[in-house]
Amino acid sequence: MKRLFLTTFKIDFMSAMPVYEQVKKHIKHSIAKKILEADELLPSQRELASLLKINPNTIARSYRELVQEGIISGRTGKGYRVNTNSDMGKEKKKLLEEKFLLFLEEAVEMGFSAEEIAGIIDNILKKGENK
Amino acid sequence: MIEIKNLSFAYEKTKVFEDFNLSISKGKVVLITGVNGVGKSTLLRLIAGALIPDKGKILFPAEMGKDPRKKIGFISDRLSLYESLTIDQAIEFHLSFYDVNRFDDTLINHTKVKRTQKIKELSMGQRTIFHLSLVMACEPEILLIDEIIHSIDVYLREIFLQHLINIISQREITVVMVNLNFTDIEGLLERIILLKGGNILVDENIIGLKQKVRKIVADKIPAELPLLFKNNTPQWTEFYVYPFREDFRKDINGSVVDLDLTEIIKAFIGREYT
Repeated sequence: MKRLFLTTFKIDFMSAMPVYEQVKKHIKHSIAKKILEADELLPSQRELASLLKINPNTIARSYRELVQEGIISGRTGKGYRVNTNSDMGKEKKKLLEEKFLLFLEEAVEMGFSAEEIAGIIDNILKKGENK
Repeated sequence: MIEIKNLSFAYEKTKVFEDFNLSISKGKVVLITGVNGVGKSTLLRLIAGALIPDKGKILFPAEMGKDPRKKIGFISDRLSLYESLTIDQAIEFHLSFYDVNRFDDTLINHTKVKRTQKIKELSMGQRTIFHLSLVMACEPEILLIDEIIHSIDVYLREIFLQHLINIISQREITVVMVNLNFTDIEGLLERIILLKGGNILVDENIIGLKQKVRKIVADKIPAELPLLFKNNTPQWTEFYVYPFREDFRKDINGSVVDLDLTEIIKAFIGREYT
């Protein structure tokens, strides 16, 4: 589980999204997708900084903010763990919305109307139910 | 904090800095860049105490003691590093000169050097890594790194950068780097200073700078946008805008692209040549 968390962890320097935000996002997504489980120990700031080749102070900021948001707990030197009750409901919804948005933009570019798109989604869901 | 106040410096009659001011907070990783000959390395050598200002002062925090230079590690390819001594002799000399007694050799063990080898026989990368090990034995508060990272091979560069990350995570050290190439160091940097004609042209933290520069690929852009640099390619025109604001998007008929630090600095430096 943890290996997947690390091997999929990439910082995109072409993006203007601050690196500390990218780190937070990857951790949140990994929790939402259960790649990181409740109570799991996160890599130390030094380990993660070394893997991603970024400033350890940046990881410190990401961890600090995740603590404030109630997603992880711990402190520097002692290690950080994923909170058992971290409410990823909102996060999961946001993640799904982001993915839908990309797909919707493409559908609109191709000229589909809102009703047509809704119809297509409806059909797919029905097919899934019948299986 | 390093505080440079009203600094003036000239080589013979060539003025480099006049009434120059800059402060650098403790524990930050700062990049100083600019076109060739703008005085980047000179500034580093002034901070290191290897050059003496004609006018003005460079102040260091009180905890660095009476001789702050002993708490500054300076890594540069211009320093002659006890050329004819062997590694072992150089370590001994360095430790006794700075009155320290511990040398960590894990780093040089990665570089395949023999302790009996002479300094002048080492490759650029081996020298740089050996130099970093020597400098770190003195537990510096400030680490100055002159344009060398990209003149060492990729393998040793990785070792060098990984060690730098270790150092930063272990202690609150101020790092000032001078560089023209930003691949693989962008993630370490917190503040970017661009020099021009002895003055500071840009001084931004990395997050702010990346928000403020965008490339727009379009036939034309509204005249009121702050154009930094225009680049014509065979297919289209690229407009680099600084400072960019999100509300510009509605007036732009084209694509707006985020940039990495290399492209951002390229735009600033490209402007100097056009």
